[in-house]
Amino acid sequence: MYSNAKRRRIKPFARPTSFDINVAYDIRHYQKIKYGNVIDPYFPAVGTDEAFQVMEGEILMQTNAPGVRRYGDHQMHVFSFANGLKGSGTSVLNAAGPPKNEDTTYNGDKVAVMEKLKYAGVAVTEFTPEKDVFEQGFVMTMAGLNTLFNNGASTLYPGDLICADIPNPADRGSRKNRALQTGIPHNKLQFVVTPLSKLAEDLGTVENPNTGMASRFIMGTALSYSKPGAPVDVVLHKCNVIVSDGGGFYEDESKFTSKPAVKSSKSTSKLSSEKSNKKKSKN
Amino acid sequence: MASIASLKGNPTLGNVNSSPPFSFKSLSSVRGDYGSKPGVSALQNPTLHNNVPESMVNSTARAPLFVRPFQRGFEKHYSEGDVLFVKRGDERSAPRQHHVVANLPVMNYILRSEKNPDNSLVYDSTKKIITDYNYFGILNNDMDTGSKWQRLLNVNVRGRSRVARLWAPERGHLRRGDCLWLAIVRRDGENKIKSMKDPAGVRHPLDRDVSYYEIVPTMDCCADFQRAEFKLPIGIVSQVTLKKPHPSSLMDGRYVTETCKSLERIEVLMRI
Repeated sequence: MYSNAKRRRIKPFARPTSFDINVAYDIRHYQKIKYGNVIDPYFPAVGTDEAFQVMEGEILMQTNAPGVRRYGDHQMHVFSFANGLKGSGTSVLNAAGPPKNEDTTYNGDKVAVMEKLKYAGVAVTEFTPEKDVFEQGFVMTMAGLNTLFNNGASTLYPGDLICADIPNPADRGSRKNRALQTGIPHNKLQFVVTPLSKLAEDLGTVENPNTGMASRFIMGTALSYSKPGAPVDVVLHKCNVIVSDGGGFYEDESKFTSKPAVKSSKSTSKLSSEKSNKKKSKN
Repeated sequence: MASIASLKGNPTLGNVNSSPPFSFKSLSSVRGDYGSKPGVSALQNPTLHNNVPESMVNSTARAPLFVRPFQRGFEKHYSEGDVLFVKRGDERSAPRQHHVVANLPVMNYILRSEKNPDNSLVYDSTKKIITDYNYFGILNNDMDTGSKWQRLLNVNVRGRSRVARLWAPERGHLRRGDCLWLAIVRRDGENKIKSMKDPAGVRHPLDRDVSYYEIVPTMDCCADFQRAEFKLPIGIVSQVTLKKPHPSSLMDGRYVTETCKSLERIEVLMRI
């Protein structure tokens, strides 16, 4: 919808029925990445200031790593760049090139990176860490109609449950420009939009998708058809997906007795599926 | 969404639409041939609009709910911020729209105390619970304060709502953006004498080796989340109090209405 060659995010909806909160910038994560305190990152760190800015419509994440020093407040601290994120540390990924070691499976590393992240929301206002007031923070939306930019590698169809994701190495083979959106610095790695089914397969296997972990990153439902590089209309909803013990997801209660939207295989809980994936990655 | 430009000028008399059939003048009696009924075109052109100059952010949707009284009057102690469940398929509620409504302590009491004639528990599976009860919303206030016999509750069903702080992560603080869940968890019976409080705070003995289900507030970092058979998202935290509740208050808040009432209130965004 409203696609044009310049790859901009044109917003036909003025965010009606939105649910917004005020959040703070994760300044500790920013300093850690910017000043080179990351050894063997999964994604290359970046030095330009512009890459650390939060722009309107970008996907925001929080750190979920146990070792991260806490702020000691009740604020939500978020960031919008994937640069410098660490995986298990066993393989280092070159931004645009092929993997260093051909035997390396990206599945395990992706799980390791995603385990340390938590989906937050979508930025409504901008934030420039070197200029803006940290205490004031900025606005993030979690629910309602919105238009995002499909910067992932998958085509989205109306009705798809969509998730926040990290850019995949495979995506870069087909497109050299990591940041597809006009105006975003080329060395900035944004978080991307991916269908739930694709993310679950990426985190697990095609036969045994890791829906438990993928469910942590559900953003909402796509309302329009969107190819990579085109805007996508979405209804954001963060917490109306019911999880049953079989790992299935139901977008609302009425669907509980009917066919689940996504059916996982034999995994009985989120924990068990995550554990099995860890084992696979070790093997 | 109306623009500011449309709001200028003098205030109107308050008529929604001055032209028939919606004007007050057109409220004539319906003739035998239904000649005065509004036409299709009039019905397709609604006259009521939800126009506000600002964008609707963090709005709340509420619904009324008539409550059938319990013999022991549990419903009289429901307070703002209580999580409410409604019994489904209760044909006695149909004529007067009275419903069996339970807050979390009452719900847990029902789950472990309702018995079949053979003395087994009625709710011995998750499927039975979710077939019989629906999660409805969070109590906002009383709509009918004039009656002491029945309660008409105003319940938040979507959007911003105050709720009892029943949730606590396993480590650290509850913070903005955290997702709150209710989970149905099976508690296996133990071979020892045990008693549990009912919603009024009175202790009742539990039979030995009897397993029961309960609904527990949980978060994705908690042990109950992993062992839950059914997980229902309640909302996302948008405002949180500074003081961390004591674990014993949190535990008692699941079973005793008064303890649940004494917990601090936090703000959540429901069903978003």
